[in-house]
Amino acid sequence: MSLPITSLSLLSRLRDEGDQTGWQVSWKRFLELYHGPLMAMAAGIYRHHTGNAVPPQEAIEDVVASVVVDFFKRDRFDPERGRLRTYLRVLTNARIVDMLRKEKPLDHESMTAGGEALAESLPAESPEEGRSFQQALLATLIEDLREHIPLRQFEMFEMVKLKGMSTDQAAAELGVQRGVVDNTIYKVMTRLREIGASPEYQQEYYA
Amino acid sequence: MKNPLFKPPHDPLSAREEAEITQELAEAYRQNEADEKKPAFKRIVEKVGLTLSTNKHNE
Repeated sequence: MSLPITSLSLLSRLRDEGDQTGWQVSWKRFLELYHGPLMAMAAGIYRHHTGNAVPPQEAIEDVVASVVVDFFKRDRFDPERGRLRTYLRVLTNARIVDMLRKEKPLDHESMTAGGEALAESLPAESPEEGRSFQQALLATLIEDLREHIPLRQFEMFEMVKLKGMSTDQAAAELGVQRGVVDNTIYKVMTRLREIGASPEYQQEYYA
Repeated sequence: MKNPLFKPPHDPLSAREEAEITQELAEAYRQNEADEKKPAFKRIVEKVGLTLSTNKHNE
């Protein structure tokens, strides 16, 4: 069965043209899903290039904002050529390096690398960044699921699996029998796993 | 580390795997909702919106 386009592949096909409203919604949704890992990524890369200096909050926020703008303006991410997290790390590294080069020469002395090597030096993914990215990916999967099943089914799934309500509570709130909720949850979990089995999720989730 | 959520869909899940998946999904959902309320997130949204609308205006 061919699956409908997912949020991950949709992100790679967005253009800075066409439906302006849809595009606006897309970058905001992308930011909602990925600003956590982007913040962790930017902070880790900043520490890497500055010999473990504490990253200034405002500068990190500026970098994340620039990365999101770059991501949507460049539109060069192709899931068939690499992972989203790698693409975002390269963009983030470039913005951090740009920012450090604009700082005073005194600050440059504390950097652990210099010149061109600075731009090419990309640190290993930190455990915090990896965990944050995996959470963002699961949130993306939930978003995909929401688009691919009827609203009523998503409501049941959300109540029981995401908000921790019991099956009996959900059934009572929705005015249906418990068996209906059980059957729906089973179907929705199967659908979720079908979407998660797509190559783009597999390659993003596993290093 | 293999996440049972990404096992082939035809492979049955054990009760433990199902519970593990539920916990991870709920955690990701809660984290995402909490992140959206953070002031840092709101500031970044403003910065991106301002940059994109300025770029659009200049084109």
